Amino acid sequence: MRVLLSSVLLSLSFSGFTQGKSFFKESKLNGSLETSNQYYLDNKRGNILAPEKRFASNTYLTANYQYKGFRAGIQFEGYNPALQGFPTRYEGNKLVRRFVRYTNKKIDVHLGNFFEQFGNGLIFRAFEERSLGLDNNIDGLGIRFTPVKSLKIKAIAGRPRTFMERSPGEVMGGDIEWSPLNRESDGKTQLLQLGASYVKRFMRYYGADPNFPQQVNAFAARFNGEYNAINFSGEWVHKSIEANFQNDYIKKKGLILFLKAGWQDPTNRMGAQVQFRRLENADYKGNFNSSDAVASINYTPALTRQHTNLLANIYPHAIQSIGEIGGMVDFFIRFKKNTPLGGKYGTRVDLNYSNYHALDSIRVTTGAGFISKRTLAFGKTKFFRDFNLIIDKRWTKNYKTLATLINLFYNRTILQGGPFGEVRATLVVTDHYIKIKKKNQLRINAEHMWVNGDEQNWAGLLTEWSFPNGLSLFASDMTNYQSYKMHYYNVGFALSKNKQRIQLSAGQQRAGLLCVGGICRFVPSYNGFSLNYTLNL
Amino acid sequence: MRSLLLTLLLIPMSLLAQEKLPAVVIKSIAGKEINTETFYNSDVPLVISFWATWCKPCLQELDAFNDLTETWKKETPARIIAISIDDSRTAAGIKKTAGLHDWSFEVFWDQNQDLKRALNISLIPHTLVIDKKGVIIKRYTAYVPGNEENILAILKTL
Repeated sequence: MRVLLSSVLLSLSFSGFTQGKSFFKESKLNGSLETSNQYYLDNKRGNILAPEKRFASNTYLTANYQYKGFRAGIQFEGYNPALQGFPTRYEGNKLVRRFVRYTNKKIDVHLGNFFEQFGNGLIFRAFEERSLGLDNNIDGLGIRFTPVKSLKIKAIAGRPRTFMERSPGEVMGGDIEWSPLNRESDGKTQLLQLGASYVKRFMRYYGADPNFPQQVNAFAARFNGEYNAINFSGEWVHKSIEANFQNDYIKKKGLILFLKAGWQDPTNRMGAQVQFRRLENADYKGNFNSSDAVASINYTPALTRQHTNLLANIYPHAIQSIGEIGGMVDFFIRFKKNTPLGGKYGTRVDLNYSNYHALDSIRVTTGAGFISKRTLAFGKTKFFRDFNLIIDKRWTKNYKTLATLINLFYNRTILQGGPFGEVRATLVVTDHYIKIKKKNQLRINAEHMWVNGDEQNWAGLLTEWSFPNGLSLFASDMTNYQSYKMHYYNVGFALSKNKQRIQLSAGQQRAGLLCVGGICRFVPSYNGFSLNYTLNL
Repeated sequence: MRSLLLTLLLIPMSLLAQEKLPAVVIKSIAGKEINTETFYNSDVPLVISFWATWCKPCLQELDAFNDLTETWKKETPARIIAISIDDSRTAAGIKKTAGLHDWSFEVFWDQNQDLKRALNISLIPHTLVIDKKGVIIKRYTAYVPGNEENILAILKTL
């Protein structure tokens, strides 16, 4: 690995070598290797056949170099073939990213493949989430210009990545952010930021419709602020008519409205936050013919609690970017140590509630597909509701628990697309962390979910033993014991040592929406072995 | 010829051994921008931990750091910095989580994961121990209980 990285950067290093020792002192070089491999077996009980190619592998190799304000980097990816659940258009081996970049105090110029975000990402976000097969980096030119401290200007132009290629659509845009107030003293912040963005997408249309919108223009305005204990932000996005595969080529303008307000006690004893978001034809595509989420150039994730339990992820919200309205409320309270409710070590209570509905709209026979006259009204169709109560409590120096209660409503008909009905579920999770001999830890996660509908009740158990030498052993099982009585088990180990980490597991992945890093993707059932390895250099 | 090739290979390898924290603009929780260059100008060792609101082992690690704050203060001038990689789905929870856990160290936000990418980090938690000159001397690619004490032992030598 080192030799490979060394070879890639040899020419850069050699030219610098002649400039003396300062070159080495100022040079920064790093790289990484990440590989995920799976071997699939047939699952006769579940009638799931392994794919024809039983072995699949995703590999990512990166190298970054920095010398003062100059940077360069590459990323190589190999899919031989891609893991199940990844789009099959990820295939073969290719150098998918290469860039050079120059940065000083006022300007930052990026040439090649780069990532960028305007505001909250609702109008534009180029980002990478490997575990979900998402990478929409822009191949082109990106500039950030800071003429004065309170003003920041960004400009981008290029083509977003679509799988192993570039999208046929061109993206161009700019963003300006002004901070008229920016004060911090005695731990108190007074901040106000105002921003505006413009993003254009152009993609040539070769069909028969003379009015097809080849060019789409999007505008956004936003604010973000904090005044001592209070914080607030909001963003409004307007998009001209966009027709694409995912919205059935309706000719409709897009609108996104996002508002957030929060308050937090300066001593962190209590806090509350409210978020509201409305989406209407909100998905902004880099390629209007793409059927996959990877081609989006904006980012509108589900604003719900990101669950990390075994069973709660069976029913995650999948946003309906064509039309959705709702929000999330958060509240926390922390009971101090040595108080009746806090006990010897303190107690944390965390409440979260989210609720999403369809827009209040009517279908029309014109090209717009539907119209929504009352912008802030909730439609009758409920998509998703989620209530969470989490109590985090340390009982002794060596024993801690995390108790979670979740009550959710999940509209399968809408969120999974089919006549599946609705699901109401209540989930109880207890996490136990037990320290043994100071550095060994046993973690037990026990879950039960009462489900009205679908596959009925579930039970789950996960145990993990961690050792101070970086080794973890784990085993888990989840079963729908009232219906199919299938067991989705997983056993394995992980070892972290210095800059390396290896994980080997064997088991069966449940079919469903897999949510990692805030986005969901459908993953089919599989049965087999999984080996993951990462190395940082 | 062979020695020339060896020299040419050793040059970049020597750079690899001197990996430094890259200069990247990140944000405070409120949204104020800060360049990571300013971190290693303070002439104290750094512990930088990458985390997210939905990452249980990350929270466990940062709680362990928090529990040891008083001990660390007595034994090392090191600065602990927690950098969240939450995206806009969960970013509203950064301030809440830091408050709920009552962390006494600084918390920042790598909004579009520029710093994470510059350091080639693929999984979190990922913790760096950095000396006074900004050189990364240790990486932890996962959290296992006891890491915090190993880190303290390293910091004492810096």
